[in-house]
Amino acid sequence: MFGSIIIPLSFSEFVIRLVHHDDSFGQIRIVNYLTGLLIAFFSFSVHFIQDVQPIMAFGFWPRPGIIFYLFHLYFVLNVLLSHLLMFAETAKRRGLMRKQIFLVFMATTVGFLGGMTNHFLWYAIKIPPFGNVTISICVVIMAYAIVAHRLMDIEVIIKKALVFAGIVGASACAVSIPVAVAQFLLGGAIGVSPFWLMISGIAIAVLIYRPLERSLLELTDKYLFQKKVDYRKLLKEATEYLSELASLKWQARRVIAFLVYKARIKNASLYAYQSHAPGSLLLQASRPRLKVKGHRTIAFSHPLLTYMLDQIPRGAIQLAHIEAARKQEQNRWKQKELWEIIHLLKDHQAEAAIPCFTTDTAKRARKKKEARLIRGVLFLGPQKSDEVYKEEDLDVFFTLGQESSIAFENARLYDEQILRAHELERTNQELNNAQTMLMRSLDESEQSRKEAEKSREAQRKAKEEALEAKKKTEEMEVELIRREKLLFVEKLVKGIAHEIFNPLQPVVQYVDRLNHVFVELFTLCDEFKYEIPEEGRRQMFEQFDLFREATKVIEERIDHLYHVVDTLSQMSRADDQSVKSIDFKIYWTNAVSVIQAQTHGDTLQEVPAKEDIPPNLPPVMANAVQLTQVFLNLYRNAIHAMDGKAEKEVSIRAWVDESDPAFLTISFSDTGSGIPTDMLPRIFDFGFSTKGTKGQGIGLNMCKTIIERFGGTIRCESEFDKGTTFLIRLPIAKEKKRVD
Amino acid sequence: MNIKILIVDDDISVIRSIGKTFTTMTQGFLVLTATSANEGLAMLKEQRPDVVLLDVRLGPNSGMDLLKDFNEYFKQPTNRKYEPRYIVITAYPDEQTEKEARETFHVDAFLMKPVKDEDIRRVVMKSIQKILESFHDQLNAYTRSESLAKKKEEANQKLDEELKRSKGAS
Repeated sequence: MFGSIIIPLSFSEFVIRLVHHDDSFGQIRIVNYLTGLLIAFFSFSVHFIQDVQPIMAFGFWPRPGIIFYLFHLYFVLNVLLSHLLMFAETAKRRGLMRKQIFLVFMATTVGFLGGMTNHFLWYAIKIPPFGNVTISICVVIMAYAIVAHRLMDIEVIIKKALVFAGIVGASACAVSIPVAVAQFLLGGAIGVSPFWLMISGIAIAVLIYRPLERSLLELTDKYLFQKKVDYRKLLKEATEYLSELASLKWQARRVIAFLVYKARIKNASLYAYQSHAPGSLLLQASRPRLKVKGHRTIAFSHPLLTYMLDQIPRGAIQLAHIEAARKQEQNRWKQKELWEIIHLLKDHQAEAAIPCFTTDTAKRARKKKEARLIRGVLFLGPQKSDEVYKEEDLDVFFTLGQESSIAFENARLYDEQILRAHELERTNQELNNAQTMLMRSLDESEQSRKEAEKSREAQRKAKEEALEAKKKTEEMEVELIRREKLLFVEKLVKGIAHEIFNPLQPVVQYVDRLNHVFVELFTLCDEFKYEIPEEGRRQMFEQFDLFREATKVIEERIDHLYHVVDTLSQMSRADDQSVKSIDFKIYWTNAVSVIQAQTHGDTLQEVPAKEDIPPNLPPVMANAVQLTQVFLNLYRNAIHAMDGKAEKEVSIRAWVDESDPAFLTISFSDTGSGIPTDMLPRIFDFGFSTKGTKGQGIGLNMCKTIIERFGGTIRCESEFDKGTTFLIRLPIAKEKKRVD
Repeated sequence: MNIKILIVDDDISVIRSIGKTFTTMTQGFLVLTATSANEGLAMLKEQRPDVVLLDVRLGPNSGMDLLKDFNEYFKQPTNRKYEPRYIVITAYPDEQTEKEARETFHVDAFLMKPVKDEDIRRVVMKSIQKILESFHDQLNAYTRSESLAKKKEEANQKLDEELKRSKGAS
């Protein structure tokens, strides 16, 4: 009987735990307990069972006492209330839990209905307890629930059974031990009625119930399984974590680790939004690592997210719910969507998926149906305790999701901040580089500017040089023209010379022959002179004399003519530098007019040169042109020296000194201011000049060079304020014929 | 023996005058005359004078061209190797022409008109002497050839040596 009494109590407790209302119905349960205990106490008394009597097929069947009817009522109440509770929960719950409760409900209903047939006999209703078979059905259903819907883990069953058994046992002990003790110790002594002892036992049992339960739970947890997790406390802890500012990845990993270790979830995955991949959510962290390749991202277009939006304000979805919804779904398209969601969840081995919004975006998202406002998705695997997620738990996770979302936003911003900082640094670097390059290009432009200036300078110089070259070219052209003129003159003179010399040739020869003829004739006549009368002789010799004179004159004139033309032709030769024999007198005659003409052009003065040059002077070695230059120089100097004088006279004299017969001496004097004695030795020095008349012809140094080249000498005598005399000695030409 | 002299000048009176030096006043000379370059060249080819007296201004052509033509003609191997002696007598006082005449054509003399009789005579005499000298040298070269005697001496020696050797070997 004792066993049957336990049934309602334990069943109720079971149901209560099944629907996860462990902490509720506290008072009712206490009453339940007490009632149960009471009945249990009285189970051995006759009030419960009067006696046994045979009924129907059974040999012995108990006949109910009054307490039994109470028990029966207690029993029925428990069962009914429990079933009601289950029914209520089925309506309320969703997903897996609903299924579980529903199955248990069915199972127990069947079981109890069947079991109820037991009670007919108690009431002497002659219906055999055939319904006991249904208990098997009940068991089957329960088994199915356990297997397919994870109704209970065997651990859990054991745990619960142990706990409960422990509690009941402990309670029973609590009751019986003091009673026994009291009876033993005090019964005889005090004489308290066992009734009061029982009451005190019960009171003790009640008192120690709660702490006993807790310690038993702890024991079982410690040695057998995990404690039921208080998510709310954990949420508080989680929030603390999330408030730290760190990178997104780090935060995500922390959250996942937290979920897996502290929240005692088997596996979890977190997807979050990152600004660099705006089209989807990216996998941030997962424990254990996802093996499936294709799930690194969840596009915003995925039906999961839209479905989540529909679930707002709850948001969290459970696999069981989705599966149920899919079964009910008529629309093929929606069915497909749901299939996708189921696949996604199953791939993550997730029982539930929680969307993460930032605080106000949830409502906004729902309004706008904007999937993009979901900042993250959290996939939760089954709990390690294998308990089904309750709504409250999911709410907690939802809140966690929100907190995480905020944290992730912060983390994301933090990340982006760091990224920005990097970018800023990079930009800074680039600016620096740009600045450096700018500086460099400025330098280069400065350099090129300098180079441009340099080239301009060079250009200017080149221009100057070009101008100079041009001037030189012009000068050269002038010179060239002058030269051409001179060449022309030379050619002309040569031509004239040729025209004169050619006819002269036979003349010269015949003059020679005339001389011969004279000699022959005279010799002949001289032989026969005595055969001619004296008068005749005299006349003959007179004729010879005339002949002689005539030939002589002709000879002389021809000579002179030759010299004149020859000298002229020599003087006309601009380039000719050869030293030849010239007749000085003839030379001077030609030269003086040239000299005077040129000096007149320069000085606008003309001073006649007094000549004292005898004819028949021996020819001298000189170059006519160069000698003219010498005399030109002397003449100019003379004019300058005589500047301002009243009496101006230039005289030239040529003679052969007896003591110096190899040379012809020529003196050139003026009546000028003279040259001071201290300067006299230096006048022929190179670069000497008193007037700075460098541009006007040659200097005295040059004159000296020329004269010496002829083989002659030049020296100067001067008397201050009286005049200057230049003495030139020219070598007399050796009796060199104009032949080899 | 006759010395052939060719006078080339475009002025006839000059030709006559110079020619007379070698005809009336002396003997043993044969005087040939030409008044143009072509005539002169023809005379040269045909008569082969020993001495040529020429002016360099012969009409439009320069006298030096005449010399050049003469030279080229005589360089040809078909012509018998013969070279006259040249004397230039000119009224044109050009140094360059003188240089060219002396150095390129190796004239014996370059005279400037007017030239006296005795000068002409002396120069021509010198040229003739040079001709005689060349004959002399040629004759001497044959008769008094040292190199020939030397070669003969050497050949004799070698022959004797060979004979001795052949005798000693056998």
